[in-house]
Amino acid sequence: MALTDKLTAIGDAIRLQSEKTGKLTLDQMPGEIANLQPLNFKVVGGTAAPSNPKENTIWVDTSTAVSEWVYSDHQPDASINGRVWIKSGSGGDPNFDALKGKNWIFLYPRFTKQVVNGVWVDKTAKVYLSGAWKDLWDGTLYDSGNQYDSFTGGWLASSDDTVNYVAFQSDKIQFFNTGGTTMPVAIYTKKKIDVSNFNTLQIEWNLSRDKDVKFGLTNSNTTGNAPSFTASTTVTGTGSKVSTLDISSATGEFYVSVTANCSPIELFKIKLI
Amino acid sequence: MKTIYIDSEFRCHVTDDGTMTAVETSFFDGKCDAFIEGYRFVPEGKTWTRSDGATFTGEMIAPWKDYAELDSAQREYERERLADAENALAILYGGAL
Repeated sequence: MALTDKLTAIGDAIRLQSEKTGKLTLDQMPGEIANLQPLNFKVVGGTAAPSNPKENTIWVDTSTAVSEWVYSDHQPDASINGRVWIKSGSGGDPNFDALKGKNWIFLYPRFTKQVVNGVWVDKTAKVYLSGAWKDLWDGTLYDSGNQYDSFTGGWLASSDDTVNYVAFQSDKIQFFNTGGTTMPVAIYTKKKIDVSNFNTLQIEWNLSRDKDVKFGLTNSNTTGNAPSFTASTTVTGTGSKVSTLDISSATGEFYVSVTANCSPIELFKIKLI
Repeated sequence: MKTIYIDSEFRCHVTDDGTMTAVETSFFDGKCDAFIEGYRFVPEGKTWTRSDGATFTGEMIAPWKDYAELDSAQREYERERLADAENALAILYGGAL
């Protein structure tokens, strides 16, 4: 390949990225390259976190090789094995600037999935920010025994007596009212949650009875058995349910609370969407 | 307990324009009008559909206005009531009217 062809190829590569069409001198090339906006992050896979990660490295915990990655709001198709999908959020932590240079594109990665043998599989992921790995978060507050402590601070119960109480079991939260005289019991997140970038609070549970069953957002987690709700849904009917509350206008930080005056209530999942 | 009025989109009002449904609830006890009218009340058995298509079944009580604005209005209302009460106490304890 002639030297002039090589230099032309470099110019073509610069023009491809810069979307300019004019010819460039050698003196102009460094400046044009410096003004390009390469991405300020990378996505890597592996079963162990990279030992010397650069800032904004997204590590996907997987034993399947990452063939490509897609950052988007909607899940792409599963046609490429090893493809990683990073779900984009609209705010909250963690977040980072995706560009080098003077312009900004902020990314709010929420969770990841990967195509393994033709199907999408959930994969945990972390992003390296300011010297530490941060979990990506999809808004889950509780799931089958996992209290998501790093986001909720854990969950607390309003009552620990032996008649009306809440049990945090290995796979669910269970409300009990076992005595003749029942009283409501409640659970709260220990920490306030910023719900500004979420639209819905959703609970998956099984109700054997529906007396005074309610969930929602509160400004306090010290009101005992009777949460003072800022927004709430009262649930009626029994059986397995997915119950929802509109929180699209609830900006700011709140505790999440659930209360019931009956049993047994089995609570499996609480999530912000 | 307070009577509020809900329109066809389940938005709350403190007065009825003749087309609304009356609802009795204790949720808004102590709340100012600006706070109340920033909320949506979906009664039990009714369903509301959000603009993105998500459906919500009552009884649901949730803000439709930015909650930060509603909270600010309610705090101002409470400050005014407190100031009024303090003035009234001052008069009761010998102040001039």
